[in-house]
Amino acid sequence: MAKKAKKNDIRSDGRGFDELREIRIQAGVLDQADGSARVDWGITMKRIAVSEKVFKKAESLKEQYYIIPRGKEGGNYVVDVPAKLLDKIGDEFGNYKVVGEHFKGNIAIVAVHGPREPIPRHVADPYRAVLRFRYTMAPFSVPERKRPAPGRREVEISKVSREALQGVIFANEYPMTAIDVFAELLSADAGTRVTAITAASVALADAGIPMRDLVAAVAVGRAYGHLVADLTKFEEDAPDAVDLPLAVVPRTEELTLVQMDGRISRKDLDELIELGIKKAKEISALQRQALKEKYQRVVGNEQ
Amino acid sequence: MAEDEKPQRWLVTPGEVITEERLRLGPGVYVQDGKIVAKVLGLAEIKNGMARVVPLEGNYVPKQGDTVVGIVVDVKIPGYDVDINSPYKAFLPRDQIRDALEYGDVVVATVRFVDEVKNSVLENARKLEGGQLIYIASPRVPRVIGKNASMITNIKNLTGSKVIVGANGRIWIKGGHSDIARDAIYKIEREAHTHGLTDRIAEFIRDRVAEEEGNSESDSHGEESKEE
Repeated sequence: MAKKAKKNDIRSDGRGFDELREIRIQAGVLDQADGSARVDWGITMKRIAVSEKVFKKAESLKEQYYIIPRGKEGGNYVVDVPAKLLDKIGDEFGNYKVVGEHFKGNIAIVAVHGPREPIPRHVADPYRAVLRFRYTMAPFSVPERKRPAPGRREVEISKVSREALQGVIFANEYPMTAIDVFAELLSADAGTRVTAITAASVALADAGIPMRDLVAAVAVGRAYGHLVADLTKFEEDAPDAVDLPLAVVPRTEELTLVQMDGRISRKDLDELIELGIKKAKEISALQRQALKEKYQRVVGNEQ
Repeated sequence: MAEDEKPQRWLVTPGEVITEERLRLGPGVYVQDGKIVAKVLGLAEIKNGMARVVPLEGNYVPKQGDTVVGIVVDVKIPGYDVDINSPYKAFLPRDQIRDALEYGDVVVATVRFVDEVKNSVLENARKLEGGQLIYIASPRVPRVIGKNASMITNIKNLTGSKVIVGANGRIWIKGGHSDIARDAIYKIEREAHTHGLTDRIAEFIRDRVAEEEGNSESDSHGEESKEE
């Protein structure tokens, strides 16, 4: 294991080490589904125009920071830099000019159908509703085209996501039915399974399904010598990376999903789980707010 | 707001603690560590020593004694299979209805019996002819009916329509200003979680009725007499 990863003082995208990316949750976005939610979970990137010399320097800075030198565009050398990083190390880019701004991160849309008649009927359980979860990624969600057929990865994520939600649903109230959850990732930048689970629990609540709590999910881990919350793709690819997605039942602090890539000490693991629970509670507050906003919108319109 | 509801109703999401007191448990709540917690998205309410959550979303599950509006989906020798806008099947025995039914007919019936997997048997059915059939979310049906049927009586009186409300979220409307009645019901569905709804709806219907009658008077008298 490459233990000698460079230890950055500033996080690669300018965030605090325990700071989440920007998360925006909307409930009830689809008309045809019984319940639905959309989660946008990512960072703001600024596109800046720089001199040729600075551009060369940016080529070397990208080893350390989440910046994307894009080359020559419209007569300018253009680099994408996270907005928060630009605030901190703007000096490195000399006299730059901001030419654009865009979102970089995960976008998940989740539709919940049901409880409804299970098809095929033989999957029905006379004691409880069966929960089905389908996670899919759009072919255009990642830099290289993703083949649309579900592969091992999608099947695995569907399974663990289903299991992360199954325990909180009062499934015995709807015997002989199926609850179908469809999670579609339109854009991906690490942490898609936690985005999907976070969105799915909002969509389930929006469908009126009885649940013990809203499951909130977040990835924590290690990158460039720091324990961090909510890793980006750049951080997941760090030489010392540890990626630990967690799904948390915030009220009781139960964990319904724990997976891990990489190696880590017991002490760091305990610290990360504690951090994950703390961050999940922040996400939980956003989920509740999103559900309530759906109804407050209506009141606002009419009174 | 007066007859509508008490102000101590608030919006909750699953997992929110309603109270730490020991109270009787109504629908939509569960107990954990001695606290009463919401299990559905809805309006929490503490009344007469009981804590409950009135849901805002969810599919219909049949309950004994409910009035439902169904659509015939299959004709069999002993009776009819009826779609009641639910994941569960309903069966209407032939002796529970006067008319012979066909595929697609609309009936109103009472739920006589629900079995352990929630399939139901209906009784006292009546065929509904003509009119229009609309759908709303079944948990919001109680708001359409109102306290002591105040809301629905209002709608019927003000629009002059016949309205049959099924607990399953299907509503049949015929005659009178039926389009106004329909719009009013959709408005109730959208605003089911707000206060002072009965008054607002009455006002809405009066405005619309006045508008329509004003129009038809100036347009042609033939139109108006048809409506009377």
